[in-house]
Amino acid sequence: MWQWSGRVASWTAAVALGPLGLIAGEPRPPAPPAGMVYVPGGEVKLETFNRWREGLLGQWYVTEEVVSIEAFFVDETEVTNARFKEFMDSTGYRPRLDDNFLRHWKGDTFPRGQADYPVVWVDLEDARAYAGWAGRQIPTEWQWQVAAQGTDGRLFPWGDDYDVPRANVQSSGPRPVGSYPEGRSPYGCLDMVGNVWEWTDSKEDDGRHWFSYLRGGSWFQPVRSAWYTEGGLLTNNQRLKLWWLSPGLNRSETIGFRCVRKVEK
Amino acid sequence: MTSRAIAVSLALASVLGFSAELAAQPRLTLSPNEAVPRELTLENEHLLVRVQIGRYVYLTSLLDKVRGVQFVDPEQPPPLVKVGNQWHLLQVGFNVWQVTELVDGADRGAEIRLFSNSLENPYHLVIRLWMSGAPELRLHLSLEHRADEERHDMPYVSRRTATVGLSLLRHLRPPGASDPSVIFKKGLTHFHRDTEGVGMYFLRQADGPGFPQVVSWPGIGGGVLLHREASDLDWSFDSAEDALSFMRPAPLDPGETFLIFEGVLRPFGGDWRAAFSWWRDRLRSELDLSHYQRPGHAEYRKKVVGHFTMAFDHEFYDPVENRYRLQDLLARGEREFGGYDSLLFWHGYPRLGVDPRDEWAMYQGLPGGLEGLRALVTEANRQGVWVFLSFNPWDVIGHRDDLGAAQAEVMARTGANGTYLDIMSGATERLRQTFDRVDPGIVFSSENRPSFAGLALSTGSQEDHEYVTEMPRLDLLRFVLPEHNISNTERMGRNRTNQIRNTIFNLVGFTVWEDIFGEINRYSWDERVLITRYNRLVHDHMDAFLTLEPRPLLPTRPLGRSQGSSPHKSAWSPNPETHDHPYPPPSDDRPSGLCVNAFPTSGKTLYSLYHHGHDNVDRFHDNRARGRLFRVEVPADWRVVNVWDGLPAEIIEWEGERWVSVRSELPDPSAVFVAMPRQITIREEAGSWRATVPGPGEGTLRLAGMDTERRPLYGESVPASGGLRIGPGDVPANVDGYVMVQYLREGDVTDVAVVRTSR
Repeated sequence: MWQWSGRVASWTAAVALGPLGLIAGEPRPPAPPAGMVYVPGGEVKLETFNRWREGLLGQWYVTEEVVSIEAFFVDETEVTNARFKEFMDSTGYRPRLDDNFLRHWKGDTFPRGQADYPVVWVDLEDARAYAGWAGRQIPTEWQWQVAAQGTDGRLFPWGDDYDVPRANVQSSGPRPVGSYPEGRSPYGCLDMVGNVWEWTDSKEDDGRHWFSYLRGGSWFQPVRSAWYTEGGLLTNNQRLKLWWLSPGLNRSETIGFRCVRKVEK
Repeated sequence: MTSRAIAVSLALASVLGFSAELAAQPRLTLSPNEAVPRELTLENEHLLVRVQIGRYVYLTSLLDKVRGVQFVDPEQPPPLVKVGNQWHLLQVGFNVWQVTELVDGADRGAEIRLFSNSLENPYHLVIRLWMSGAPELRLHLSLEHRADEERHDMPYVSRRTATVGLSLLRHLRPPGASDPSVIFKKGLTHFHRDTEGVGMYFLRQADGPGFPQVVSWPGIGGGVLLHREASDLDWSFDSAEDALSFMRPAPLDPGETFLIFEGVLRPFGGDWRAAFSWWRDRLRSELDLSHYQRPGHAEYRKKVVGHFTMAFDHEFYDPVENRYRLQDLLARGEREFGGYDSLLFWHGYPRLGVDPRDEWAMYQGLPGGLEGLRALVTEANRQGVWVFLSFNPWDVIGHRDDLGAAQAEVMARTGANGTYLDIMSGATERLRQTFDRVDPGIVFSSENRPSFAGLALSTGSQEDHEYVTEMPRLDLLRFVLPEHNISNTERMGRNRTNQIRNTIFNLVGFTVWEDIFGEINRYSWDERVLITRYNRLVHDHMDAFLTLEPRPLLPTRPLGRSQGSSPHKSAWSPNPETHDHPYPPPSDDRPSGLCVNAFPTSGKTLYSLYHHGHDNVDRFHDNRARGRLFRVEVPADWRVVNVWDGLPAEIIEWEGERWVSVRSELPDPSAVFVAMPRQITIREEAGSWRATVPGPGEGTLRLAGMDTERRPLYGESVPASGGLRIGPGDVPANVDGYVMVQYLREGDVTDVAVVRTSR
């Protein structure tokens, strides 16, 4: 369905069709690894809010998809500088094209006092390298959306209220992860909206470009022109089609990531 | 004379009467006397204008003294302007008039003020007319709402809407004249030429001076134009009848003045083209063209086919190696579009806003940063390809004080040739000055057409027309300001054939734009072939492309007029009473017709043709383009060739005039002919041909043809001194029956001869 102006998405952006919440009598969910939370599996109808072209003056459309998701664990917070340093120290990882890789770090480490900040200036390949080292994966878009939204189609992780103070948006920079406990999602994830954009496992090739979908928005909100990428407090179902440019531009101070892990049966 | 000058003149209004005027200076005469004048005569050596003053002011003479043509029927003199009240019971008219002489230097004129002594008519109609030494009458017509509380105690002290009629042109009727042809403004961007049965559309500046309203009479070889410089009226018409009758509402409050018309009434000799020439010269005289004289602009004019280059398109950028693929892009352009003369490098939108980097900061993240871009520009320039960088004035996330300075710095550091002004229809003086401090040779290309005044600073523009349906569209700017680099494009349309054909018809530039900010809108193979053919043709005849004297719409032979009858004909034939057509004409149903522009230069004229109706052959009246096509003014012994199709043509004499003629129907709606002095001689020698040129044979000869898919092919150039032998084996097997021999001197084709090979 095409929507040509305004935010006209249904307020029910996700509807559980099969068990996603816990059902009485079910066995207890597996204990999540440290720093992760459990998201049960099931079939869910997800609405996604797309801009026809980023910055194209409010021209939106909504897509709807029924997806089947297996239960998974997801990081409670975005991956931090400290965790990424562990990975770096352990693997000696260096991307082949390293333009702007960890640009904000000094030497081999992050700036003083930013251990708990989300790691940024990493592209999807860097994020995947980290995830592989950690025995995890980058979430698919649908995993990300269910983790943020739960089963009731809420607009924001905490509900339907447009409540800016519950997330790090429209601010001057990233904050330590977990700084906004009031913004917790139904499954317990923090900073699903705001703080930094998050990579999803969505690198696509249309024959002339590569692009990915980012979720969640960031602390940065461009203002004073309608041609910019959408900023501010975004809803759980909004996606950003990020065109891959050069590595130096694919890495950004507003883009980080979190990981998921399969639940072993 | 301006309105302001008029006010000054009024203050200086002198006593009536004057004697020893120079012949070239105008004279004003009032009769029967100056105290109560009933008739006013303005006269100079070109023109005699007489008006009769009464309840209205009637034009009783518009005499072109030089040509001896009286445009007014004295038995039916038209009113200069008519004003009616909204309510018929208030149509009490005007019964008082005052006349004041206007003097401004040697110019002479008068102000006639009409008003009523009845309270029911609160209007004052003010008619100012004056003359200089030029063959034209200047007019200033206005309406004043003069109701006030003291004089009008009933409902007249309120906003009222008068009805203004300006139907002067409709009532001109020179003796011996047939029905006139009419040019008028239709819609926001079009003019309509109501003649020869072909609807003709003219693009114009959205806010620039409009083309005059023109009536001309074939029988007398002349006409009259009404050129509006200012008016509060809606000056757009639905039909020729509407344009000629011209009744419009004029709402105004007490105390307000409504400008009906300020401009020129001017007789001319010839057809509407004479009016066009006058208008063109007038517009050019009002423009500062100094930026078109700058050294960089001469080269800019030669940049015909450009490419909108998205920095992250993998046809241009290798993401694996993180490097530009300039050579690959240019090679593909050469192969599929005939080559690019310029690239418009675009890197920001729609990525801008993901983070705080603005477009200028983003350059640092591109391959090699600004140094990498400089290397790209250098290599492109080495191959003759210009690079434009985009400038998005809406990009303010960098909190820079001066965006223009940021752009100028990037221009300086990269050596790019021009800046594309995104969302800007023109540049500002300040921006120009900022760039001048870097390099005065940097050119601007605005997004879409600059305003008339903006043409001075923005010497090129990209014209993005969406969904072109009415064909052809004559682009008047091409003919008013040929120095301006126009580049057409059509980003959204899935079928851009019409736009490409308009480009060929107007002989302007074209921007290949397939990557619409990440969304691919591919050109079809047929479109690629059209662009390639055009591209090669323009570069073969760059001298004509660069002419400063292009001429629009040559006289053409009407097609499909004289034979039989058909539903088409009955539906679209002129109405004998109004000589009018039903409007708006559905574009596909308009009568077939030929439209031809000329691009003359020294020793050569290029003609671009569009055949409307080519795709709809009508068996009842032949509308095929064959035989006599269009009238030319080149020597009869010149050679003429349809270089678009590589086919022969000829110049024939018909009723004392020269016409270009073809024996076979034109194979395509588009065609380009070139007429040049014959220099090449072709002789058949035992199954082959030999081309030679006279004299020492400076320059080169080469074969040119088209393969069966109409892609241009060229043979190797050989010195003309030795001639060129064309044997059966010299023509590729996939070239059809005709080949052209081109004689090139200093890069330009100076003669083309067509040879029919044995196949």
